[in-house]
Amino acid sequence: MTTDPQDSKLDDFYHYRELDCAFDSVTDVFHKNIGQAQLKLSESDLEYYYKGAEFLAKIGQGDKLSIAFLKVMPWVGEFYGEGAIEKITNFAYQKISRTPNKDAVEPFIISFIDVIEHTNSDQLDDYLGLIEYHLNKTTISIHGIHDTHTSPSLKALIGQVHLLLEQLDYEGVYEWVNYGLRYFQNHPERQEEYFSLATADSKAVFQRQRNGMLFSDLERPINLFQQALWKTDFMYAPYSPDFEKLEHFHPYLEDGVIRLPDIYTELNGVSACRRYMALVAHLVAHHRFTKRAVADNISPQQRLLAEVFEDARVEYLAAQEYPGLKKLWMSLIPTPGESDCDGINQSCVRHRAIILTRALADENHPYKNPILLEFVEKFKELMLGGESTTQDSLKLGIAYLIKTHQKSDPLPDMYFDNTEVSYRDDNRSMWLFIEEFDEDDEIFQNTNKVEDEDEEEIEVIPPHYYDEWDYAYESYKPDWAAVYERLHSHADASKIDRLLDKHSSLVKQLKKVLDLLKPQNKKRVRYQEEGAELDLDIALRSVIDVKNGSQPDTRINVDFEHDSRSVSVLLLLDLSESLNETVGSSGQTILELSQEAVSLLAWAVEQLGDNFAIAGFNSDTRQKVMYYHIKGYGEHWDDTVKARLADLKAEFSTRMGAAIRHGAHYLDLQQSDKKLMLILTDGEPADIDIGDPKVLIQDAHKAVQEVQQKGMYPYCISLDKKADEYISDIFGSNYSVVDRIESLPKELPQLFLSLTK
Amino acid sequence: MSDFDINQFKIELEPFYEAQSNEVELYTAAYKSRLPVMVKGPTGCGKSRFIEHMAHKLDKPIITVSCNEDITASDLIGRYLLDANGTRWVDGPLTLAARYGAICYLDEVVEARQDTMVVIHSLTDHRRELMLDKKGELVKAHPDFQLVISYNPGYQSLMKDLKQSTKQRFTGMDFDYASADLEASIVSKESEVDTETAEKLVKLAQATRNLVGHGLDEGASTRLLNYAGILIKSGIEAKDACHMALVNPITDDQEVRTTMGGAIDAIFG
Repeated sequence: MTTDPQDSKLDDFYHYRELDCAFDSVTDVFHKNIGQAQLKLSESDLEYYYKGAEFLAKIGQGDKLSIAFLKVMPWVGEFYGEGAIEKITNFAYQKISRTPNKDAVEPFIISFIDVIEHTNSDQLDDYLGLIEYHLNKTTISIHGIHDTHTSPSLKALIGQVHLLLEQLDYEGVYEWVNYGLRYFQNHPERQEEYFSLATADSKAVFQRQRNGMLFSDLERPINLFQQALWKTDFMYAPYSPDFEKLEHFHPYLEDGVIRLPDIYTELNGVSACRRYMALVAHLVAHHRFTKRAVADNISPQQRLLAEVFEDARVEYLAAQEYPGLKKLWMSLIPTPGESDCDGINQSCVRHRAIILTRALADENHPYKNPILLEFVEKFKELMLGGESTTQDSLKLGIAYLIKTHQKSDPLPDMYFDNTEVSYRDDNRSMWLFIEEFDEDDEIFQNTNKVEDEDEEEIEVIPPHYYDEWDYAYESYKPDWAAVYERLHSHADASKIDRLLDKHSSLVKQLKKVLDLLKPQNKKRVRYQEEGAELDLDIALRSVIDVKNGSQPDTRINVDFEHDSRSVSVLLLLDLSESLNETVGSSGQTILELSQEAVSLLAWAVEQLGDNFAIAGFNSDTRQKVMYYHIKGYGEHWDDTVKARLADLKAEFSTRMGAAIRHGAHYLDLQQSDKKLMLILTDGEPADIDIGDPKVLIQDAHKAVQEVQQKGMYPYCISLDKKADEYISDIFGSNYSVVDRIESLPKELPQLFLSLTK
Repeated sequence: MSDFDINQFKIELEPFYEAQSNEVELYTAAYKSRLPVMVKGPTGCGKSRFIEHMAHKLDKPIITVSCNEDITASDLIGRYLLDANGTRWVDGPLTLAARYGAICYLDEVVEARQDTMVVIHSLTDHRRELMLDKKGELVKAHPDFQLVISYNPGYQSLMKDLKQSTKQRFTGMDFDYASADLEASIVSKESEVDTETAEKLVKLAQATRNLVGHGLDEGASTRLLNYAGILIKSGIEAKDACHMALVNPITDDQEVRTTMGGAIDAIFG
């Protein structure tokens, strides 16, 4: 008789204490799982396994807690080690169940299945700490009434925890959680939405926390890379981890578009930028060298091996032209151990494929298998022969699979560790299926989407999201304001012509000024009879001429002139409700006076030939900032534009920061030396969903700074007599206050001219 | 006046030039009849080198003037200078070439002002004479005199172009970067770097030329390739030499530099 504990455990296998529980459903599950529990758990943990299950059935929440517990805890206990089950049980009871968050206990227990995939075995306390932190902050007690409310978002958080832990480190998760707590502590619905990762801003904050470099930050260098090396210009569609469910995607190239991950971290010392280059280079290599092979009579495993050879073949050919690629690709291919897969309980096909991949790429590989070495030689001969095709890869792949066939190959459980090469694609370009398979789900999904979008586009274009500045926390709230663009509706253009007639004398004055207007660049003009400075060299020559007895040249001065006028202007009009107020004795509204002023300005600018656009904005909470195009840069000051201007309407509020950012987006695209953004407003930035008046003022100030940093000049023309209280906070010294609003039509064009001299 | 030695402008050492097609024959024929020649092409592809080579081959002195927008007519034809005795006339490069029979090579001629350019008109047609107004002398061109101009049609603004009346006085020869093999052999000979490295350098230049219009105004010139080769030959690491000679001079755009870094790694390994 041995005293081997394993043996005695096996003895116990058929002898175990029954669970003390009234629910049959629970004891059923108990019987199914006790075997695993006995194998995986230590004696003391096994005790807690019993205790926990029995306890959870007695706290008035029915059988579901115990059922979940019994199913999950053998694996969890094994993973986290001694004492984990006790900790978790206590936590579930003390911290969650005894608060009004009883509903969260079951998901909490179930969540461990995913949590153990994404944490280390010593990180149990970290995870529990995170849950406790969130719970405390969101389970609000109201003093005096002795009433505690359920956390609106704990269940949502637990539901997302697998994604959070997979993509972010703990610091990132806390940042994300804190952001949600900061802004939505008092809004239960918004809080739940945020923690379910259902809103644009919660996804945006999540993205910000991810480690690595976003593809969108690297898009231009990567694009130039493919242009420089192969003169190709494939477009890109980056994919994010699907927020609903995780899918293991491989990149691919289809219809001229490369699908690739939206974020890459460093791997094996290779930077994100280089990883993207490796990915694109591999896809271009397939594009150039791979010809489709018929796949209908070929099994998935045969395809897998054929793909290994084809990947190696196209990379070999690409590296003949650009040898540095070989080294780059090699640094991203893993080198697993030759005997990592035992081939008993698991199929080793993928493992064999990956070591073959390594051997084909790396002359100094460590593998000894004779068949492997034989096929590596065959590959070399094929490539040295010069003429190789996809069919050759197919033949080699099938032959290799046959020669290395193991009994375990057809097993459903496939050994997956370290068998993936991250930059390589799914090789769809290699296969042709003559019969219809649903391999092409992707394409069908896409066509459906396109139809939907077409329908939607008639209604409204999806909004642009802009960050908003939070002055109290000195950081941006990402994707906070949604800006909807529209072409402004139009009325009768002759209304504008009448306005211009009204100001005919002003028009004549303006014309004179325009004629004299000097354009931008200073240029030296030599050999002038009259000018700003004496040009000494030339003057000397004239003196020499005099000494000589010949006629001196009198053009001995230097002058400066402005060379060309290179100005782009955006006029941004505040179209908030307050513009409907009447002003002065004429009974005109501020809106009408603005229309007059803008008409004059637009006419003047048309004379100068400057690049000019007009847009209006207003806002109805941050979800709906409206941006109306009145005149585009490419349009002339004609009846179409006049008609839109004639129809201006004023309503809602003034979320200035978002409008400035959106306008800057278009102004930035203009090619000119000087870019001016004129903002015409009658009051301070405000919106109905903001209590603190400083918030939007500070955000507008931040927007002004952003715009200045991009090389554009924002300038404000304010019609508010009380503007001095806040306007310099936003625009610094770049503003004018128009005291008499009736004089706006006269002042606006003159202001513009003086700004652009 | 007679102690002026035009032969100081002769080129002693043969300037290395590898012909791409029949340009040598074409130029020789033009010179035989003393026809004025205009050479056009991107920067650093061998225009000036070619003219110098031909001057040496034909054993003629060559006077080169690099033009800029401050050049006046008197810079080209000459002026009076002050000296102890009063004033003294000094011939400009164009007058010297016309008087003593040299090739006058006006490089990047389009930069010069329009009113400067008209002084060459009388030298480029059948008259072959140059009027020195201030001096009151009519210089008849030496039989060996020839006028050659160059310009880069690539980045000229619309405002700065030669007038038709000027253009039509010249015969034109187009130059471009050599084919890959030829360019590699040129780089190899000029910088004394081995052929394999030269080929890699040419491949890199090719990559930059693919980016023209996408982020670069001009690709790397053969001249820059020679610089890179010289650096490599003197012991600098190939990748560093490429950055120094081929990337840093042609762009400050950080994203383009990142791309070029990737291309350098892809080519040099």
